[in-house]
Amino acid sequence: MFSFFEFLYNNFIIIGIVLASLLASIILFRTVLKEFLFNRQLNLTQNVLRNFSSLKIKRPSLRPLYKVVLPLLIPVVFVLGVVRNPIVYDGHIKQVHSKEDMFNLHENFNSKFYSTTLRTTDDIDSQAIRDAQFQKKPNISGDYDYVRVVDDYIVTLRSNTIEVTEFSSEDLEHKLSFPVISEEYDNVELLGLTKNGSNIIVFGTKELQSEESNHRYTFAKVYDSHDDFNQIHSYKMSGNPSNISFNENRLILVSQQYLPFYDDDFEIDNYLPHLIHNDTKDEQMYSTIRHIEGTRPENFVTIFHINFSELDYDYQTIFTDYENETEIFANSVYLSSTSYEFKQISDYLELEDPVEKYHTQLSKINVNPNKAGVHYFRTNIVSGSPTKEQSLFVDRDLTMVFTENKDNEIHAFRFSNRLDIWHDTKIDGFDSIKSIERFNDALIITDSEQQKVGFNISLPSSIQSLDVSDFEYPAENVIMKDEDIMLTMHMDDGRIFVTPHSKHGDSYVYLDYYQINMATFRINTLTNYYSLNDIYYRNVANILIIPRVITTNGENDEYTTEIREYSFNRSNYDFDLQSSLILPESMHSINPFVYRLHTRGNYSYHITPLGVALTHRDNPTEIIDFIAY
Amino acid sequence: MFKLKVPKEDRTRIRNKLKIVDSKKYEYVITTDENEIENDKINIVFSEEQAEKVNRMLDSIVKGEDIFISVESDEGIKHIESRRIHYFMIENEEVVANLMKHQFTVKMKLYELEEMLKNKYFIRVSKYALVNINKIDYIKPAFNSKLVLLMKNGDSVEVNRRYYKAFKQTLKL
Repeated sequence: MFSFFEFLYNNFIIIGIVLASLLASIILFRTVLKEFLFNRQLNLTQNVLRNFSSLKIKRPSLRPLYKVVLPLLIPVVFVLGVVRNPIVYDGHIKQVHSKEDMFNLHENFNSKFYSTTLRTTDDIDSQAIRDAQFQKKPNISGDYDYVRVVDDYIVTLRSNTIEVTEFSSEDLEHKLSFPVISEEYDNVELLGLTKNGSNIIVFGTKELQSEESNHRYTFAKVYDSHDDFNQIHSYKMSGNPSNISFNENRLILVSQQYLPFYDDDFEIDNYLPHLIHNDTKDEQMYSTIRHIEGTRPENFVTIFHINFSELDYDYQTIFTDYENETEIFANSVYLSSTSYEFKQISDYLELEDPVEKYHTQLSKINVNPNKAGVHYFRTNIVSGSPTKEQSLFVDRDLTMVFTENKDNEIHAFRFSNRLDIWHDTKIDGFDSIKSIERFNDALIITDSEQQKVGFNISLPSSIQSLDVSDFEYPAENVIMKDEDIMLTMHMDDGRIFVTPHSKHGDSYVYLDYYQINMATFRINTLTNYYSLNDIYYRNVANILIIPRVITTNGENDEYTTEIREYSFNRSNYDFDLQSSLILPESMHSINPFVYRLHTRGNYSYHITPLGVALTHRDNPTEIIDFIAY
Repeated sequence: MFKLKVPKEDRTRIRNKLKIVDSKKYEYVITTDENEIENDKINIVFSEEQAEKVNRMLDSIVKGEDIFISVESDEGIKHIESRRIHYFMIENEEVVANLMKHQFTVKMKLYELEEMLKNKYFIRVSKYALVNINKIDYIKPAFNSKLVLLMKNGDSVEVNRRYYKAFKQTLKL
C-alpha cells in the first residue's frame, strides 16, 4: 500500500484538480443556495406587501443544484480519460492482433512504469541498448566444427571462405575455394559447419552497419558435395543472435530485436522478424506475435527453427523485455525475464514506486524435432525478480529459475516439464549468483564472493541440500577414461597440461606429480581457441597426440605448429615422446588455433584452417603431401 | 405586519381568502374571536362572511395612497403612479423611470425619489438605481458578491456590493 503522503507528493496535479473542483462545487453550492433563499424571501416579502401581480412570480427551485455536481465530475472525467482498458491475458499470454495492439501494449506498460518522478522515458538510451544487443556474442551449442569430412572431401572454414580438399590414400588435391558471402568479408563471421548426408551446412552471422544502428543477421547455407559444392539453399534470419543450436539436420536460433519506440523515425514494420529462404522473404505477421504478462514490451525474441532434411522452417516471436535470458535445450527454448505487477492506481496517479511486486516469468517454446514447427507452450510466473548475473538454468530433467526479493533473499524454483513448480527453496546466506554448474546429480551455485552452495537434484521433484565441502568435482576435459585411469587436460596461463588420474574405489585421484606441461611457450591466444577437440588418444596403442604451438626462433616469437605423439605408460604414468611432426609454415594458424586429425587406413590427415598435410602411420614425422590454401 | 388569529381548522381557508402572510413583528391582529384581541395592537374582529371586505381593507392598509411621480413625455408632463414604476436609473445624468414598456425622464434627483418612496418599498440598490421590490421577478446571485435583479419588464439591475446588506435586510433575510 502506498502512503497518503506519497500520494500527495507525487500527484500534486491530481490533488490540485480535486481541490479546485471541490472549491468550485462549494462556491456553486453557496450560489445556488443563496439564489434559492433570496427568491423564497422575495416571494414572501411580495406576499406580505400584498403584491398579487397578474404576472406569475417565479418560484425558487433547488434544481440548479445539479451544477454543484458538475465540478466534481471533472476529476472523474480526468481519471476515466487516463485509465486504460485493462489488457486481458490468457494463461499469462496475450495474442497480439495488430500493429495497434503492439503500440497499445507498449503505451499501457509505459503509462504505469513511468508514472513516477524517479524515471522518465528521456532516460532511455536506445542506442546503448542496441549496441549492447549487437555486441553480445551468441551462445552456440551442438554438433558443429570448423572442419568436416564428407566422403572424400575435407571441408574447412577459413575466415569467410570454405576450402575443399579432395583426398585419397597418398594424394591431396585442393578442389575448390569459395567465399560464403561474396561481399563485405569483414562483416562476416562464420561460426561453424556441419553435414547432413552429402550436404555441407555453414552458418554464421553478418553485420549490417548503418548510421542509425548496427545489427546482424544469422545465415545458413547448404552446399551439395555431389554437385561440386554448389549452393542449393540459403536462409537468412533477422535479429541479433543470442542462442544457436546446431545439430545435424536442424538449426534452432534465438534472435533479439530491440524496438526503439522513442526514435523519431521509428517504424515498427521495419523491425518485423523475417526469414529469407532463397531470396523469398517470409515476414512475421502481427497476429502470430505473443506478449507475456507484465513484461516490458520493447523487444522481439524470435525462435527460428530450420529442418534441413525436410527443407522446412518455422518461427515464433515473443514481444517482451530486451533484458531477458534464453536457453536452448533439446527441443525447447526457455525464456525468462522480469514480469512487473503494478499498483492499480498507477494507471492515473504518479507514485514513488508504481511497481507493486516484481516477478519472474518463465516461458517455454517447443520445436518439433521431426518437422519444423515452433509452438509456444506455456508460461509460469514466480515471485521475485530474476537474479542479476544468471537466473535461468536448464539441463537434462532440470529447469530452474533463481529470483531475488526486495530483502535480497535468493529463491530457487524447480519446474516440471510442463513448467509447474515442483519445488522452491530459499538459499540462505546468498545475495547474488555468479555461476551455476551441474555435475551429474549435483548443482553447485557460486556467489560473487566465491561462496558455494550445493543441491542434490537426483530426485526430480525436489532440491536437497548438499555439503559442498565434501563434494568431489568431476574432472572436466577428459581425454580418456577407463576402469583404471583417466587423463584430463587443462590450460593455465596459455600452457597445456595433461594430468593422469588413478582410480581408487569409485573416484579418480588427481596425480599432479605426473602432470606434464605440453606447451613450452606461453601463447595467450591459445587459451581462446585450443580445446579438447585438438587432442587425440588412441586407446589401443595408448598413444596421445597433442598439437601445440612452439617458437622456432627463440625470442623472435616465430611460432610453428608441432604435432607430438606420446605413448602413455599406464603402469608408471609416464609419457614417452615417440615422434614429432612440424607442419609446414604455410599451414600454421594461431588465430584461431584449429587443428583436426582425420585418419583413414594407415594415413593421417592433419588439418588446419590453412591447409592439409598427409602422413603415414609408420612414419608419422614425414609429410608425404601437403596443401596450403 | 399582520397576525391572523383564527381556529386552527379554519386557518388555511381564511388565510387564502384574506391573502395574509403572518409576520413576526406585527401591528395588526386579524381575528374572528374577540377573546384573541391584543390590547397593544390594532385589532380587526370580523366574521368569515365579511372576508372580502376585510381583504380590501388590508389592501388599502398596506398599499395606502399611491404617490404620483411627474415625468416628462412627448406629450408633456405626466403623473404616473409609483407602483407602476419598475425602477429608476440614472442615464446620461438624468433620472429615467422604467415602466413595463416605457421610459420617462424624471426631473428629480435619485436621492429625492428615494426619500419620497422609501415607504413605498422602493429600495436603493446602487449609486445609479432605485428598485421597486414588487417589480422584481427573480434574484440571481453573481460570483462577485453582487446580485442581479431580473425585473418583470425583462430588464436586469445590479445590486452593488455596497447596497447588498441593506437589500438583504429589506428582504428580511
